[in-house]
Amino acid sequence: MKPVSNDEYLTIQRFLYAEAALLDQRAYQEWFALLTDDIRYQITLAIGRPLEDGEMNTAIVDEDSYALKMRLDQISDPHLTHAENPPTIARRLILNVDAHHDDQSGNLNVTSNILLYGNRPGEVETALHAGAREDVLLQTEDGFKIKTRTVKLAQTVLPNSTLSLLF
Amino acid sequence: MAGWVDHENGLVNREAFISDEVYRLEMDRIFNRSWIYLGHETEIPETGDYVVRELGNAPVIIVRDSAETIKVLLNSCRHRGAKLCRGDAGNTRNFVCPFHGWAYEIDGTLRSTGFDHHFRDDTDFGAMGLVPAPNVESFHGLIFACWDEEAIGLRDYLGDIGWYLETFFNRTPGGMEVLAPPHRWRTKANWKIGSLNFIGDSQHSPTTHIGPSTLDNARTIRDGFRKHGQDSFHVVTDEGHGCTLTYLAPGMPEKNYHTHPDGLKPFYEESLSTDQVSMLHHLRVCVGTIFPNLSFIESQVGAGEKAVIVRLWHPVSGTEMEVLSWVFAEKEADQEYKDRVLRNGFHNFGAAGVFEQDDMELWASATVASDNSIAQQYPYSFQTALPYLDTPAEDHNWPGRAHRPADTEVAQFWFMQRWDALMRSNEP
Ligand code: FES
Ligand SMILES: [Fe+2]
Repeated sequence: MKPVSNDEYLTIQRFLYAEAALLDQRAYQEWFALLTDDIRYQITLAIGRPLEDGEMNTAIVDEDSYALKMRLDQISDPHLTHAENPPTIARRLILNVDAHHDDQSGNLNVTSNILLYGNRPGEVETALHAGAREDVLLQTEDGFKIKTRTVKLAQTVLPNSTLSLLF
Repeated sequence: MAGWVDHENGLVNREAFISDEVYRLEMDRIFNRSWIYLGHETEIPETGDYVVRELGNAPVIIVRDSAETIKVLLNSCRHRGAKLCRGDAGNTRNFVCPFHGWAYEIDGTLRSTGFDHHFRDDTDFGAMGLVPAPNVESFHGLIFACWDEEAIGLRDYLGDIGWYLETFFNRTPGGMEVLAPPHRWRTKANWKIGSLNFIGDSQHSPTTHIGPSTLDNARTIRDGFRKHGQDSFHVVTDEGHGCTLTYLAPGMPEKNYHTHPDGLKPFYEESLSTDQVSMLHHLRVCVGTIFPNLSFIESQVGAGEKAVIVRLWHPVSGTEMEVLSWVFAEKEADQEYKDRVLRNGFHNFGAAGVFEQDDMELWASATVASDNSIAQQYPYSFQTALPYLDTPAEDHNWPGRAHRPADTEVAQFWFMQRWDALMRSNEP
């Protein structure tokens, strides 16, 4: 696993920012186009175990493109969502990016931290979700595609209702 | 309006869904006296396995202290109160308090304080173990406990609803198993909204869940919501329990409807009575609530899976609850099927569920909008229960009292009436 060059690093970083901006702007169909057909997308919650047990998580989302598409169609259509109508005002901060070449597959292994700030209109308290992301990116003629994404939330209990947004 | 529930007019004072004073009374009069669900035996399969939950608002450890027995222990040291377990789950040989070192056996008995020689000679160390819940019983793997020493046994408490629970949790010789640790989330809504929703709020489905019911044609949810089968009904039983069974409506396209997996049906026939097997036949979805705050749903999820999901609506205050959600499948099912049940079960009903997200949004909105003195002058309506309350179906041969049709508020009002009776139980 070789670290990417500085040039590659900037391209990857730019991709992650652009992709997060699409989600912030609720351009869900455009974002969906950045996923491979065989995407595996996971979000996990942490489990509080003794130190000696090591890190343990449990998936709260573990989906393929069919399930993701339905999820996004639901929150895109004003008639089909209550959780996102009016929409959550969201900002995603992408930090601590690192990337390596996977010598065997030729794919890129990209890690980053994400902070999702989501405000429901009229509410003062804001949901904040911090997560560690592990992505596998594919380099295609049309640029990068996301082949797998795992978002490990740094929470054992979601503090403010269920999740209707993606990371 | 005197009290919270207006039985005559099918109304409930909003205060019941808002007030922290009501929450405190509920802890005394309901949660410290009723059988409360804590978890499932398959979460702690090995001796020494434990999970940490709350019984009422008291933190407890649910520990398998031997192959056959499970103990529920107050998670607070007898010396000065520190928690013995500060995580969510683990495995241990004993409980050693991190504060000053009191050591307890896995069944909670005190082994040593480390300073036994400084105690008076007549000290009864035998009475200084971790406080055990006096009543702990399982029903087909579902672990319940109760703080009230005088409480009736669990089977008597469940009564007729046990027959339905059994159909979902004891339908194969191996029983059901929890597929992953529970999802947990907080919602700023009163816990009773969850219990009511699952005991039988068929009216919310077409509007609250217009999203998934429109998008997911493969699951025929929309058709099912729009026209309930003539055979669909609410069941209510003593102690305030109930469930709602929704069947495939006549004329509904069967092509997209999935019965239970063929591979599992022979097990059902082996474990269940003929009536219970026919209850499952063409069952589209069943939701139910065991009073006060345990709910379950069996629903088709994905292309051909029937997931059983268990919910705990744990009260945090008058206006907030913590929800725990577990997905179950039959032990005999193959791993690939279990994986699909887990994935698709949580896609629909998990901490990011496409159903849940809209429920939670609206429950929280109902709570915040009711939390003021003006709104509280106008009670919540359960009026569609009234015309049906006294006319149970006469041709219902299964346990409990059935009411048709399945889209009234009969079961919900039944729950509120039981709640009211318990809340008034200390009145002069
Ligand atoms: S509080 Fe547990 S040993 Fe002192
Ligand atoms: Fe719902």
